[in-house]
Amino acid sequence: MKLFGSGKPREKGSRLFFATDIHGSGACFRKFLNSAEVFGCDYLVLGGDITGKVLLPVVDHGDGTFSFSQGGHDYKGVRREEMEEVVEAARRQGDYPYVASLSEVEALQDEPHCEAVFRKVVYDSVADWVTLAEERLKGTGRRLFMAPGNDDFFEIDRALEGSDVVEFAENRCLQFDENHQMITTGYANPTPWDTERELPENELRARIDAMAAKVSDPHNLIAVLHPPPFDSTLDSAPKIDAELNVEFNHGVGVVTAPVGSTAVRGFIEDAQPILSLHGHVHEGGGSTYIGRTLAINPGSAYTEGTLVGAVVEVGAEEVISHQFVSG
Amino acid sequence: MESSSIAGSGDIPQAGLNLPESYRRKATGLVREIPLKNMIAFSISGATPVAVVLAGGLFAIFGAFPGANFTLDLVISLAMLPLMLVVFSLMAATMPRAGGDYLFGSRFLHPILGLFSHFGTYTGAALGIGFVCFGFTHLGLSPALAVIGTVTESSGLITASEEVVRSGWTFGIGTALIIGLSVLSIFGTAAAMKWIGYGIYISSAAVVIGIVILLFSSHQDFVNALNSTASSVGVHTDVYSKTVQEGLKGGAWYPSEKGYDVGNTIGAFYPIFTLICATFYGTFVIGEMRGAGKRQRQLVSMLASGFGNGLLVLIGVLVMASAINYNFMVAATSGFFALELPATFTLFMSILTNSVVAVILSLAFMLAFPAWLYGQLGLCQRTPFALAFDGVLPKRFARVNSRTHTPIPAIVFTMVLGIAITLWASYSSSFLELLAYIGVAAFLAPIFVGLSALSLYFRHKQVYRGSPADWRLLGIPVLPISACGAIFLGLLLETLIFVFHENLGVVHLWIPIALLLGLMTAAVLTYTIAVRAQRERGVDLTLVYKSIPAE
Repeated sequence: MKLFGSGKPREKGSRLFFATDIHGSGACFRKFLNSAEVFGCDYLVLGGDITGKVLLPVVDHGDGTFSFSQGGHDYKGVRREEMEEVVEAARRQGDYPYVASLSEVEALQDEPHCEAVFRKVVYDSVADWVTLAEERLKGTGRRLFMAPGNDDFFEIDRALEGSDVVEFAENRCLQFDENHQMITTGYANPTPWDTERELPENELRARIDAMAAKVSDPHNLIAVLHPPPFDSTLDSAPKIDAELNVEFNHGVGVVTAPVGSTAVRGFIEDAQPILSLHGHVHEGGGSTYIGRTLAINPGSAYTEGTLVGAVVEVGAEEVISHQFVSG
Repeated sequence: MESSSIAGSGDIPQAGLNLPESYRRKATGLVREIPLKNMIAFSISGATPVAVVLAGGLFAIFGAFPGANFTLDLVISLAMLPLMLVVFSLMAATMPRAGGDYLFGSRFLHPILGLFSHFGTYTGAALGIGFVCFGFTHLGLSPALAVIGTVTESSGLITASEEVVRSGWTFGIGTALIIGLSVLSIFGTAAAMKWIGYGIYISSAAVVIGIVILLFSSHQDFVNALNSTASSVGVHTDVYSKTVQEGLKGGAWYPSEKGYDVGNTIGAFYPIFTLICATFYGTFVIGEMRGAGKRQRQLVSMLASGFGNGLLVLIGVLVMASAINYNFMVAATSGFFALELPATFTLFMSILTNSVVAVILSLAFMLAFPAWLYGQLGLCQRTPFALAFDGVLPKRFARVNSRTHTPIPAIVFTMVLGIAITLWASYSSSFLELLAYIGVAAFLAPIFVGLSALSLYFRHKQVYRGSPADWRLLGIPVLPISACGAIFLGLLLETLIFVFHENLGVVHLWIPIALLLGLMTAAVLTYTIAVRAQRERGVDLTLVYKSIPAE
């Protein structure tokens, strides 16, 4: 039935599951690890922005009770079971609980100290994720590729490297399968937030080109580039002003604008990889063709604890199929 | 690093400590929240314009449900509005993605049920295109021409006000509106869209001004103004008294004489509630708004806009009853108006003010219709996106033009469909008949969103716990209660359509039954064909709806 596309006889290809921008959601990461089994994939690719944005201080009173404030509610002297239930819900959405004594929580008011604590909590969380990945995937034959994104602290690279199961993909050209190579970068074009890994467009292009130079067959290349190509419909985000106010149009709601990378677009147009995988713009979920390249951004719904991803089957010469899934 | 103090929190007790709720680091996407007033405004812009409800909706109901107590129906409608809005708000806050009832139903019930509900919503919106075009000539353009003709003493314009409600003109004008707005949609002119949105606010402001005019006019002022207007068009009788007397002779139901009819009061609840409840349509697009995932903001914006519109209607009815007189309104809208002018709120308000204000207000009322039509068209244009994203519809249905960044196939399809429906609507029996079919289709949504919410609560605890839907008042979970309320309301409204089908102008009951069966058939076929077609491409569509376990 040609209604949904090509009616050519099916070849078998390599089946990968791609998700991105889970921003510290423990639930999303655990679902990501299980996705290989659920969707029958041999390859798992986790795009960047894997760390969360929020630190949730929880005061441990030392007598089995805890106090914290979350979701507009004050939890005063609650028992451990209740604390863990609420905190688990927060962790599912990507928040990092910091359970500590009153004095330690008070010390967070010092910004440099808070920053340091935040980085340590994030690092420990990523390290725990790597351990979990090793437990779940070791011996299965499935491959897991991970790379940080522009929002991720540099410190987490150390947690991702050196694992038998997690293949650290940032700035590398890796052999994906017998037919394809893969290049990855989580760096983004400049954003209003001046995040950890940003580069001017020309430098971003140079970074991508340097990886691509190591590729033997560019037409069978899989490019995992965190920012979507500029003006591709995968990069439509709410338009904001210098004060980070979202521009609002009473007639149509939020005004959107393309925020993707011209470097990424230029690279795709020139190199025409078989597949490009993107994230960065949570609202930009979808797929589009740039020439022969299928560009995919599954978007993100990590705040719901819902994992959104794309199952892609890559053949020798073309992408056989792709679909978006969530759960 | 910023410490964020969410509204309502701040202090953690124990020795009077003041600790922030959380620390948020600088990261992509961290923006200031959209002001609540903008969210409310956006919700209002998706609702039935108050001007439409007052300008004609209520007046059409007078004749169809003689003896109905509209004030009581309005009060009950306002009281029951939260039953629908709360569950929609909570679900939208929990899953702030475009797709609305399709998203909720397909994830928490079954894809076919999600499609059934969403096809109902889509059909309601599509029929709404015809409804709005019908309404534009009958309730907007005709009264405006009558008012302008009266103040300028132009018999030509008064004649034109009678002509434009003929089927041919209704179809032609409606088609022109649809084509014009579709072309604007294609080119995505932001400025044009902004002014369309302002049309809602201008028309609502005109309603407020109209209500104020009536509020400060005595009943005698109205009688004098009406008779003066009649003289200016060559009718030299006491039009007010004649209308009331003719109505009495002709059997019009005057509550002051006969009291209220319980049965028709129950039946009239359907059209009254339908006209003021459309705020929930906003949830289908609310996912694109930042802050949609916050329960409090979602609730406040939807309830404020819903209640805001509803209260305005209630005040309008009470003021009209006082200044114009209830019996007169019943007689005038039941075919006994002793003047060859459309008996509408527009006219009755306009005659109480000077010519310039009358013309401005009647033109302002008209702005509600193109603005509302744009919303109906937009809802239909958006439907393919969520379905194409999941693979239920081919992606070409949601293709976005690279130059204009607009979904031209969806816009063109909606335009053609809208014109076809307008053709049918132009020759239909009445305003209320259209509203009946819209309700049959559209009120599937509260039933299935309610069922989805119950499924979320009872069968998907992991998603529910800690989500915006996890809200308790006095320790009682709100979601399951509001879900049951929405299901009850949806079933009640569907039942009322069938029980009072004759009042609503639905002569043949097989039509709404066929509509429901057709929607279910379409849902089954769409899903089945999509699954099969995708399977041939090596894609298992059922995976889209599969839960991914975390453990």
